[in-house]
Parts: sequence; structure tokens; C-alpha cells
Amino acid sequence: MLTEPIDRVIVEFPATAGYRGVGRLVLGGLSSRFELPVDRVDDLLLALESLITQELAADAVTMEATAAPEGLRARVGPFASSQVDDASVARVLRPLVDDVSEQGGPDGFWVELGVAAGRSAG
Amino acid sequence: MATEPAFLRLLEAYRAGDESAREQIVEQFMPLVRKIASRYAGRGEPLEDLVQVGSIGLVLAIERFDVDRGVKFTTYAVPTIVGEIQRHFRDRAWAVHVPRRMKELSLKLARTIEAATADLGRAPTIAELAAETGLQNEEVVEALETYHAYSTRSLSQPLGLGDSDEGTVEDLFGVPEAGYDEVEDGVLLESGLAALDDRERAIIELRFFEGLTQSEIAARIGISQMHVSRLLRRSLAVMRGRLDGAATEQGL
Repeated sequence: MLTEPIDRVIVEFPATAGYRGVGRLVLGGLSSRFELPVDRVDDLLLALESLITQELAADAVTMEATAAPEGLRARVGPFASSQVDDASVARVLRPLVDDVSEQGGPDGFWVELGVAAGRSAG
Repeated sequence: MATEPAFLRLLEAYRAGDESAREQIVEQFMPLVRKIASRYAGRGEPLEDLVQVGSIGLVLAIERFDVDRGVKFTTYAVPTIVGEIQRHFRDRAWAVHVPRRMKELSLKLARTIEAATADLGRAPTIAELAAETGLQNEEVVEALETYHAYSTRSLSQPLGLGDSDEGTVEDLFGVPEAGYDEVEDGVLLESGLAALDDRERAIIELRFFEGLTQSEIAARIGISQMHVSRLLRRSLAVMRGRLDGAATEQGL
């Protein structure tokens, strides 16, 4: 369980296949602080994998993962276009995590994935 | 294989809305895909996986081919098919460099998850797995990641459900999936699903349409949760290739 109110990890990694595992390992490591069933952790990582294969507005993926008592959030981007408006992406993301939101900015679109702490699988 | 005029007629029919025309094109050019895929056999990936990946390249080529450029379809399709197969190898290259200890840990972890799920009646947490295996939480996460990377299982390998799930990708092109017609992006979705075999489509349907968890899917079809996870990842990756091509064609 978390001992601090908020833990935050920010990582930037190349947007190539060989580095996607870096993002998954970081987010997986942070998610292990929660008592989440392993299939929920895997769903979260699957959502991340689905996101970071989309077209970016930069050469690298930036992921800011925040662990708080209420749950885990991962802000990922910047994407060249809206991912939430892309039905094929949103359809994959929404069943995998508890919350999907997006913010557009001058540098591109940022997607935030949220997983609530203490909710059973499914 | 279709002559160029015959091919152009089929392509024109497909682009006018005749889905069966694309099925005919795919069927006629699958020997080409197999021939190309066979050149890459013996490099650690099952031939049927390579054929499946190559078929994605074929479909992309059909979607993107510009008749006004004045080149033969095969001239355009071959590099597209080769490119998909080569990308497949690039994406999976790091899998062969996983340390032996981590491979062993990942396999041990897979067995532990199965046993713990049976004992607990739910999927175990990372902390529970760490306690059970004597690993740190981060090592468990790393071993899980390794498990997904370290895979030589064929996409076409049966899951023990009987003969009904042993169709090949060629068999599946054009098989209608009426249940998805109602969704607004049904055309794109079908394009992606058409690249999957029966069991992969079943798992995608159970997870994303019926809302079953990975563990529930595992229990229903009699495989491990980690195997479900692996098949989900691979299915989504295959679908992404198809969706990208179809979306580009539709200007989405």
C-alpha cells in the first residue's frame, strides 16, 4: 500500500517498439503499489500499449504516472490527434481502465488513464 | 492469380462497395503472401504467423493501391507485404535477448498465477504473487513483462477447444460477423476482426463487448489468464494494422 499521499513518476522514452516495454515496466511497477488483481494491472498496461502505438506529435512518449490513495493515473502524450475521438482507440481503452479523459494543447493531445484503488476486477 | 485487367475489375467492384470482391483479391494473392513469408521461415517465427502478418500487408496494399500510378499491383504489394513481415521481426527482436533467469521466473510466475487464481477465486495481486514467489514487486512486474515478450507460440495454435477453432486466416477472410453491424464503426471493426482467427475473435468479443475480465475469460475457455493476456495483446496488434489501413482509406 502507499505510504505517501502522492507518488509521481515521469518518464520519457523513444516512440519505438523496442522502448514500449520501458513504459509498461514503469507503470506496472507503480501499479504494484496498489492491491490490484494482476489482470487489472495487465489491462492497464494493455491500454498503455494501445495508446503509445498511436501517432505522436513528438519523437518521444512522455508518461506522467501518479499514484494517490484513490487510485492510479497515467497521463500520456503528446498525440498528433485526439485519441478519444478515434472510435477504434477509445473502444479499446474504455473497457480496460476505469476512466479515460483527454486534454488538447498547443503541443498535442494528452490522454489520462485512471484506475481506481480497491475496485475488484471487471 | 488474377490477370491485371481482372484484378482491376475486382478492385473497382470492391471500392464500389462489394466486399466479396476484396475477398476474391485476397484469396487470389494469398499464394504470393505464402511465397514471401516462406522466405522468412526458419528465423524463429512460425510460418503461419508470418503468413498472417503478410496477409495484413496484402490487405493494406489492396486498400492503398493507386491505379492511376500506372504500376502493377504486385509491384506495389510485394514491398508492402515484405515491410509488414520485417516490422513483425523488428517488433519481436528483443524477445530473444531475455535473460534465462527472467524466462524461468516468468514461467514460474505463470504457474503461480494459475494456482493462486484457483485458490483465491480471483486473480492475485502483484503483492500476493511477490509473497508467494519470494520476489520483489518490481521483479514480478518484470517477469510478467517477460512472459509476454518471450513467446514462440503460433497464432494458429489450438487452445484445446476442438477442431472448430482451427481455421486459418485465409479461411476467415470475409466471414461475416453480424453482431458487430450495429456499432457505428462497424466497418472498421470488421476490418480488424477479419484478421483474427476464431479464438482470438472470441476473446476480443468476450473482453470488449461482453465485459468479461481476463480471469473470467480464462476460466470460460480453459486457458490461463496470462495466455488470455498474450492473445489479447497480439490480437489488438494485428487489428491495429488492419484498422490503420482501413482508416487511411476512409480518410479517418
